[in-house]
This record gives sequence, structure tokens and C-alpha cells, in this order.
Amino acid sequence: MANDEYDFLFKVVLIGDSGVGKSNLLSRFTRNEFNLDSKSTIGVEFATRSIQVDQKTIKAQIWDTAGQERYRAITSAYYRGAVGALLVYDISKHQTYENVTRWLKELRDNADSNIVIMLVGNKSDLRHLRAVPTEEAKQFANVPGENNLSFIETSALDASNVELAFQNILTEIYRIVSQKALDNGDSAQANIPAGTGISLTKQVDDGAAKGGKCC
Amino acid sequence: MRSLEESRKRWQVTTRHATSLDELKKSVRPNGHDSPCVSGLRSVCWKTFLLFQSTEVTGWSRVLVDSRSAYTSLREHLLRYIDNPDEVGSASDPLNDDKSSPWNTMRQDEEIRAEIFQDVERCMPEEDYFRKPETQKTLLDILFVFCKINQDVGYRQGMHEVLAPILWVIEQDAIKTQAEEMSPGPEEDTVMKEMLDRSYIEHDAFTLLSLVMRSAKSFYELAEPDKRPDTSFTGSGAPQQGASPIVERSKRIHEVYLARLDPELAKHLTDIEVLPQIFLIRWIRLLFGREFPFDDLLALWDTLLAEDPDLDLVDMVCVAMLLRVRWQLIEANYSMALMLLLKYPFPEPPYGPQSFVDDAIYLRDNFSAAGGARIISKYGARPLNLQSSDLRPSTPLGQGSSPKQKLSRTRSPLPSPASFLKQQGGVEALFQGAAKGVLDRGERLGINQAVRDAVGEVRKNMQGLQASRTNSTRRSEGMRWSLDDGRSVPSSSKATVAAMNARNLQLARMLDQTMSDMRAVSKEGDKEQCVEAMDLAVAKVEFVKVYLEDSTMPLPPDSPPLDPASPSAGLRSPSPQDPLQIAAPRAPDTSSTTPKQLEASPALPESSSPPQSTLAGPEIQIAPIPATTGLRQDIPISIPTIATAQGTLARPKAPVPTRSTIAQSSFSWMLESDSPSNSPAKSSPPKPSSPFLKSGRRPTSGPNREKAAFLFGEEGGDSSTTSSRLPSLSDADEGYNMGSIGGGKVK
Repeated sequence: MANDEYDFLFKVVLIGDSGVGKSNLLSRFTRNEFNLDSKSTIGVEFATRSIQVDQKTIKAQIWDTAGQERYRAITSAYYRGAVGALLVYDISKHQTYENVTRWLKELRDNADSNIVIMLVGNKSDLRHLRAVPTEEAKQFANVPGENNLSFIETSALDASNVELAFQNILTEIYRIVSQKALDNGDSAQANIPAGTGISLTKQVDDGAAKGGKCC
Repeated sequence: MRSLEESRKRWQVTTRHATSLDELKKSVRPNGHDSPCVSGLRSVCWKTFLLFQSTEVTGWSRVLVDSRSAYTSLREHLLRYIDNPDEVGSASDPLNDDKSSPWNTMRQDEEIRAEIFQDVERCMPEEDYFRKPETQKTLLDILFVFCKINQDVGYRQGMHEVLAPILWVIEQDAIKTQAEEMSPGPEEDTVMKEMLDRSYIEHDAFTLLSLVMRSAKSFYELAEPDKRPDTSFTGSGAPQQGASPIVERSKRIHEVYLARLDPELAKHLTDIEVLPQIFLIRWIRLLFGREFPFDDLLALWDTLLAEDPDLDLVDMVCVAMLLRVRWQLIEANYSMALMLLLKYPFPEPPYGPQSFVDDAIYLRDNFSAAGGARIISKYGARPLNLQSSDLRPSTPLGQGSSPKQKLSRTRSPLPSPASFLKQQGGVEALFQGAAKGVLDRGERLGINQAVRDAVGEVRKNMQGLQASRTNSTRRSEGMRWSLDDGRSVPSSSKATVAAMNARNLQLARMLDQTMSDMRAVSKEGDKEQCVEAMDLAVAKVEFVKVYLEDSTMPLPPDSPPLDPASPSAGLRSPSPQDPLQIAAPRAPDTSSTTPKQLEASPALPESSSPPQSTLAGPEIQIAPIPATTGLRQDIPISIPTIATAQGTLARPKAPVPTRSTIAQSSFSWMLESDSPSNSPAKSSPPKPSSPFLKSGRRPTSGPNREKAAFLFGEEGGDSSTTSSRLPSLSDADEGYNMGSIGGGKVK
């Protein structure tokens, strides 16, 4: 497939309570569609879209699952290999925001410990129904030493910030990956454009060691 | 809803077909205007298949009345406060924290209802009927009642879309008349009017949902009973203890059914690492509700419910769907395959989705690679070449189906494969649990390394034995299949089956004996004796486990020579010729403990037998006194001898019927899956005989590789571009490690 050319493939998962708009975020980003009457997701959905960052093609493989699926038949398959997670809540339903901590725990338990997490307050178009203040969520996302999440508010309905949210998380993942490649210096650096696999493979040990030092 | 006139016509069409249950079932199969589900009353057909299970119209009425009144009382009870919130007020203090307070119940119920409603609101958005508030209320109430009386599963997303078609069908057939028109009228209308009474739409929908969910409930069950919504986050962080039934089922569809019917496709899906549950969860949970347009779905359900109200056929429908897109799948990489399966294409005309059930029936009755190939060629652009070498191993098995087997095929009411699997896992877990429990207790009693050493010794010896044994008359492949699906038992394997059953009986007897010994021991005060006997019990359980793990090992004969005169003769020196001589635990000690043992309990046979007999009495039916004396004498003797000797003593009563049945069915299945295949190329080590069995993954396709694939874009090595990016996949395992990412993240 000609349109299947890409430099990086990142798997990103959408999580959050049932009804917060995960599926619509997915359809807005991958197909620019929004459906007010969308059905509940059963099991897993999956879509891809490629974006450009630094003249590199990044293919995002975005997975969407039923909000209730945290009661898991597919947890391990779902999180396996995910390098990013959009943790979505509904700004008009406080309960979905309260459950964010549960979802964070779910991520800690099941996903890679270094997964990039972005907290997403969806349905920002529902201004008159807002139940979660932006500032509160922003602070929560940046609790020093505890949460280090990026944060954004989106509306799948009016499309605001959806593109940006995905752009940001994919770019962040890309920066981390390529940063490591650059940090690794000499040969790896030379290899980046052609043989990402090699350079990343090679620099893993160093990367892990560095990570240890920093933390 | 229809007019009385129209309903009458349809009623006649339906009853004309309903000369017998079989006739009615047959008549819904061709999906055309002739089907009574299309030109007649679909709801009546469904009720007949699920509820009445008979075409005796006269009997219908009573069943209907019963089921409706059952729902009425359930509803009254469970929705009392929801429907009449005022009643709660007087009952108690709303601020009372008491768990049983009606206020508390009501709050919880409201939460459940809110959760359900979130899905009801989004149910079938394209159908106006489901947008109506009354409809949504009905859906909500039915699901709520179902959830309350099925608290083990509760409400799970997807159930609403099992209910929706049912409600729709019943609503469609209801008679649109006023109450006064309903009562009088011709005699023959009475049953019809009762059946299609619109005031019972909700009741009947609930009944049919419950009947469908009898089997479909397992599709929604969770892995762990304590993984309930309330505890899922607060529980221990350990992810994924055991797979849920739906994952097991998905695995079975892929690794057993598809592997049998189309080994090449099954292997390809394994190779590209498409996990079956990813797409099967939705297919199965919704009974294909999202895969096909609504009308086609109803037609599919017509046949499915007619053919198999227990829904075991669902698995074969899934296989049939996979076979239909076989050629696309076989060329697809990971994402293409997932895209295809998550957006399943509408089947090529003239075959509608109902044809998948026809295929499924065919595949069930022709459960072989040949049967699979027939289905593939039926729809495929090209025929499947069955002569290709990779298909050969499994083809011969499918061909030897005698008329007799066909007979058993049609009538055998198979246990649901899901429960079959569960049972199997359960048995294995039982043993491991038992052995572990004994070890734990032993630890507390001060036995530690010694026991494990002894156990290890037993195992080593068994392996030695097994390695030296030639793989003679076994037909493991045939056995496994025959026992798995219970349909085709190659006649040449019958002797093997019989032998296996005998073997299982024997093993069951040993376990039985050991268990009664252990029960007896646990009541004794003397620590020394406890320790001693515990050793023995551990070793015995271990012994049985070893035999279970490898079915190729010969069991000792049923009545071995009991040789109490030379207790330690065979310890540590088992010979391949004599499998009975297995090292007993703590072998070096035996000589010293034997006299002690005898000293310590001179009068034991008399004194200890009464309490022991009460202990072992009701559950384990063995003659108490022989058993106890046996225990005493046996301690220093090699284990198999004891076990079988006791088995012999206790034989008339020993095997508790239920236990031995489990042993016979599940054991043999389990044993076979571990036994070496009969392919001449392979030697005997006890490995899974098929790459799909157990977790026999190729080293290059481990989960790490999959991780790497996700991150770096390799997708099953499909395109040269991606593979050139990733010259060494196996090395890329590490490449995924997000340690690198994390390192960068911290500035």
C-alpha cells in the first residue's frame, strides 16, 4: 500500500469512562467525523492516521475501547505496545473526572511505565454545563512528583483542539524517541533517517541507563 | 404493531409451518419469503425455539402465563422504589448509612440504571423506534431487572444490543388493538391474542433475553469473580489473573476450530499476531449485531436460534465468517487484517449473512480441513488446494467419519465448549492447588526443602521413565480431537480411549485415597506423624500430577504386588521396566522413621480408626478400616504401590461418580494436548504437538516482538519497505523498551 509508508508507528490508546466521547475523538481525528448518536463501543475499535512531524511521517494507530472495558476482557491486548494514552473525561460530568485516578492506576498496572499520558477534558463545547474547572484539571495534571501529564481540553463536536491533542501527544512521543536517538550520538545519529529500527535498538541500553540516572 | 387482520394471516402462516418443532426449524432456514419468520410471526418462532420448545399450541398459553407472571412479580419487587419513590420516605431515615436501608439500595439502583441508560440512549440510533422514550424505558427496565437477578455478571455493555432485536421483534408482532377488541372474538384467536398481547411486550422480551443469556452470559463474564466493578480498581494491582471466558472462547475458536478447519489461515493469524479476542468480543457478545444490517441480523438469528438455542454454534459462525474472507486475510498484514475483521464486509450476493449459519452447521458436521476447504471453495475465487503439505497432517482425521459418528454428531448434546474448557482448567488448577496447599502446610509444619527434593526426585524419575519409553500405540492427534469435540471418534482410537478412561479412573482413585489420607492426617496431633504423612501425600499428589502431565507414561498395573517386607528396596533406584518403584519422599529417613512410626502407634489401627472413618466417611466412599491400616503400613513403601494397593482395596466404592466422570472427560483431553504428536518427524518430548496448543509460540513471535512492531511499524513482515527499516526483528525486542522514552521525558 502506497499510503502505508511511514517512519514511525505509534500505538495510542483512548481510555476513560463510558460516554466521555472517546469514539468521537477518534472519528474526529481520523475521519473528521462526529456523530451525536454514536453507539457504545463494544470491545475494541481501531483506526489510523498519519501526520508529519519534522518531515517524518508518523503513523498513529489509535485504539478505542468500551469505557466499561476497564472491567477487562482485553486489557493486556489493549495496552500491549501502547506508547501513548489519551485519558479522557467529560468536563460536564464530574464523576468521569474523579475516575481519572482509577484510570491512572489502570495504566500503571497494565501499560508500560513510561507511556506518555495526556489528560483530555472533552466536550468543552458544553460551557453551560461545565462541572470540572479547567484550572483544577490543569493542576491535577501537574502534581509535582506524582502526575506528569500533559493536559488539554477538547471538543469532538466542534473539533476544537482535537487535532492539537493528537499532534501534541504524537510529537511528544516522537521527541522522546528521536531525542534518545540523538543523545546516543555518533553512529546512531547517522542512522536515524534510514534505519530507525537499528539505531533505537542499539541505543536501548544506553537509554535505559540514562533514564535511571535522571530519575 | 399490526392490525388484528394482518396478525391473523401471519399467525396462520406460522402455525402451518409449526407442524413439529423440527419442521418449524427447517422452515426458517431458507432465507426467503417462505420463512415463517418473514411472512409469519418471527416472535412466535423465536418464542417457540427458546421458550416453548414445542409446537403444541395448546401448551403455549400456560408457559406464557407463567413467564409473564414471573416477570411481573420480579419487576414489582425490584422496581418498587424506582416506580414509587414516595414509598421509601416513610420506611426509614434517608441519612442512615445502613447498607440494607431502602435509601441505600435505591441510590445504588439509580447508579446502575444510569449506567445502563447511558447505553440505552445510544442503542440503535438509526431506528426511530429506539429513540422513543417509552422504548428506552422498557429497555432500561428489562436490563435493570436482568442485572439485579444476575448479579454475578451484572449489566455489561453490549447486553442492550442483544435485547434490542428481541424487543423489536416482539413489538413488531404485537397486535395494535384496543383492550375491548382483544377479549372477544373467534375461538381460534384466543391463543394468538394472548401471544401477541401488547401489554406483555416487556415481559416476553425479558423472558427471551433471559433465555438467550443463559448461554450468552458467559460471553460477558469476567476473569475473576472478585473483579467486580467496585473492586476492580481497589484490588491488587496485578493485571490479568486468568483469562475471561470470552478470551478463552476466542482462543479456542482460533487455535482449535479454525486450526482444524483451515490450518493455514489459523497459522497466518498467529503469525501476524492478530489476537482473536480483539474482533471476536464484539462479534460474539452482540451475536453479530454490529456486523450486519439489522434485517440480515434478524434472519441470521432466525437460523441460529432454531439450530442451537444454546449458542454453541456461534463459534462456528465465527469460523465461517473468517473462512469467507479467507483469501483477503491470508494476504493481509496486522492492520489490514484488523481493519477487515473490525469492519466485516457484507457478504457477496446472493449469499446473505444468514448463510454463515448454514456454513457453521456444515462445518460443525464436517469438522475437518476438508470441510473447511469445501466452504472456502464454495465462495472463494479459487479452490483451496488441500494437497499442500502443510494441510496434510490434519486431513486424514476428518475423513473417517462413519455413519455412526454422524449419528452421534447430530444427537450429541455437547456440553458447552466454554464450560468444557473451564472444567478442564478447573481440574488442573485443583491439583496444583492441592499440591500447593500441602506444600504450604508442610512448610508450616517444618518440612521444607526435604519435601521439594523428594518431589523433584519423583518427577525426575518419572521423566526418566518416560524418556525411555517408546511411543508405541498412541494416536494422540486423533484422540485430542475426538475428545475435544466429542463428535468423531476414529474407530482405531477406541481402544486408546478405553485405556485412557481406565487410566483416569486409576489416577482418580489414587487421588481419592491420598485425599482421605490427608484428611485423616490433619486431624492427628502428632507432629512427627503429620510431617511424615504429609510428605507422603505431597508425593502422591505430585505423582498423579506427573502422570497427568504426560499421558504417554504407563501407569502401574491395577494390582501391583504389595511388598511391605522390603520397604525401601526400590527407593531411589527405579528401573524403566518397573514404573512402580518411585522414590518416596525423604528416602534417607525412611529406615529410621519406620521403626519409630511403628513404635509410636502400636495400637493405632484400633484407636484411630473411628475418628478417621467419620472423617472420610460421607464424601469419600472407602472402607475406613482397610484404608487406615493401609496408611500405616504404607508409609515407607514406594508411592505408586501404596496408591494402587489402596485403590485395589477400596475399589468397589472408591471412585466417587462425579469425580471420575470429570476425570474421564477432561483429563484425557488435557493429557492428550501435552502428549507428543504421532508425526514421525518429532521425537517424544512432552511438548505441545501443535503450534497452536498451549502457548507454543515461535521464539520470534513473542509479545516483545509485537511491542516492537507497534512502535516501529513492522507489521508481520508484509512489505519490503517496513522490513527494510527493521533489518533485525528479533533484536528489536529491546527496542521497544520505553526506558529510552522515559529517559528523555525527564528533562
